[in-house]
Amino acid sequence: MFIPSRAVLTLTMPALFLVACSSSPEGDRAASGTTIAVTATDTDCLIDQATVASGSIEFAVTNSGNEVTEIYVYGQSGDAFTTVISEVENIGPGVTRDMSVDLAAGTYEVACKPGQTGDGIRTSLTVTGDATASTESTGALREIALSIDTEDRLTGVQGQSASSGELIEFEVANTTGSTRIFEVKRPDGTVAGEIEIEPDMTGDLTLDISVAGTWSLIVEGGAVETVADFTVE
Amino acid sequence: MFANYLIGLREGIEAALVVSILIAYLVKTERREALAPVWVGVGLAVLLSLSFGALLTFSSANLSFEQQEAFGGLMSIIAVGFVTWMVFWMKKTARNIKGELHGRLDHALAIGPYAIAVVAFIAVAREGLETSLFIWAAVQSTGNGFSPILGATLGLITAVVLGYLFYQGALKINLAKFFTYTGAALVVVAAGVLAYAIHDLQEAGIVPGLYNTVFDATGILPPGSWYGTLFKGIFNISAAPSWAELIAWLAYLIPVMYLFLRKPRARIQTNAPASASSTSVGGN
Repeated sequence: MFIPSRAVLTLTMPALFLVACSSSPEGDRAASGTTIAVTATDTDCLIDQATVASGSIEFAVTNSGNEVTEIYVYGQSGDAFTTVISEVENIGPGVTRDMSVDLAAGTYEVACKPGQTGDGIRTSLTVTGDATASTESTGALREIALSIDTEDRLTGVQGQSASSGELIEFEVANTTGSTRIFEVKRPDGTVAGEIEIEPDMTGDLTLDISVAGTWSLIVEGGAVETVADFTVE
Repeated sequence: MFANYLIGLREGIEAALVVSILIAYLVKTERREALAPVWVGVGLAVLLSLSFGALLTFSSANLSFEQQEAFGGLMSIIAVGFVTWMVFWMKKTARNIKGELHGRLDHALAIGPYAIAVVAFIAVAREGLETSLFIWAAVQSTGNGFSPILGATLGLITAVVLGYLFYQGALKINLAKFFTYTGAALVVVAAGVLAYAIHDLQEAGIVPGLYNTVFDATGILPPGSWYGTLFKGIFNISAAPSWAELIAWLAYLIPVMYLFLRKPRARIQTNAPASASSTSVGGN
C-alpha cells in the first residue's frame, strides 16, 4: 500500500478539528433565533430590523447588486466601530449567505462592502438586553446617590446593587475640585454611558441596567482612575 | 455571472498551479507511479471541503467567525511550511541534474509519496472550505437563478484548464530550468500565502494592525477585473495590504528567494571510497 495509514490519519486531522470545534445545533439556536434579512446592493446595505434582542442572531444576506460583496459586523472600540466581530466574504451577485453571530446588548455597525474593499456601506444596529427584561422593567426610576471624594474614589457604592431590567439614575457629586468623568461599563466591557461632571456639581446619568453581572463604575480625569464594582442580579 | 466566475477562478487557480507543478515534477522525474498519491490528496481535500461546507450550509451546525479565521490562518501557515520544504527539495534536486534526466532520480532525492499526497491535500484544502461555502451558497440560491452556480463552476473549470496549460508548458523546458523556475514561482506564492495568513489572524484579532494599510492599489488592480483576479489568486497579494502583511511578505520572500537562488558553496568532489579515508575509524 503506497499510502500508509498514518497519511490518511494526518490528512483527516483538519476535518476532525473542525467537527470538534463547531458548536452543537440545538443549544445555540434555541434562545432567541432572531433573523435579520440584509439586502446588499452596489449602493445600499438595508437591514430589515435595526433593534433586536441579544443572543444568537442570524444575518441572511442577499446580494442584489452586480459586484461581489462581503458583510461585516463591527463592535465599538473607543469612538469608532472597528472591532471585527464577524464577517462573510465572497457573496456573489444573486447569492444568499447566512451568518450567525452571538451579540450581547450594545450598539454595532453592519457593513456591506461591494467590491470587497474599503470601509463599506454602514448601518447601525442596536442590540437590547433580554426581551424579558424590557417587559419587566417597571419604568419607574430608582436613584442611587454617589460621591467622588477628594482621592477620586467613588463613595456610596457599598451595599448597592440592582436587578437587571431596572432603570437607574446615578446621581454623582464631584467634590474633587476639578472636572471628572463618570463612566459605566457593562460586564462585557462595552460602555453603557458616561458624563462629565464639573467641580462641585452633581451629574445625573440614567441607564437601562439590562444585563446581569458585574458592572464597572469608573472615575477618570484625575491623577488616578478608579473602578468600583456594581452587582446586577 | 462574471463576478461569480471570477471568484471561482480566483479560488481555484493557486491550488491548480501547485498541483500541476507537483504532477509535472513527477512526470519529468519518471515517477508516474507516484501520481496516484497526488489524486488521493486532491480528492480527499475536495471531498472533505465539500462535505464540511455542506454541513455548515444546510444544517444548523455553526462555526464561529474566529474559528473559521483560525482554521484558515493555521492551514495557510502549514501550507507555507510544506511549500518551503518542497522548494528546497527542488533546489537540491536541480543541483544534481544537468539539463535533462538520464535514468531515474537517485532515491534519496525523490520526495516520498506520503509527502506528495500531503502537499497536494494542503494546496487544495487551504482555501477549500471557503470555496465550498461559496459554492454551496450558490447552489442554495438556484431558486433565484442558475447564474451564480454556473459562473462559479466555469471559474473553477478555467482554473483547472490554466493549471493544465501550465503543466504542458512546464513539460517542455529542461529539468534543471523547470526546478529553478517553478521553485522560484512557489516561493512567491508561499510569500503571498503567509501574508494572507497574517491578514486572517488580524481579522480574528490575534495580530493587531488590521487598518494600518501601507497603500491602496485597488484602482490599478480592481478585484472585479480578470487581471486583478488572476493576480490576487496566484500571488495572494492584497491590493491594500496592512503593514504586518507587507512586512511578513518581504521578510519571507527576500531571505528565502536569496537562499533558493544562490549558488551552492563549492564542494570538492571526491571519488575515493570511504574506507580509503585516513580518518576512518572502528573495525574494518
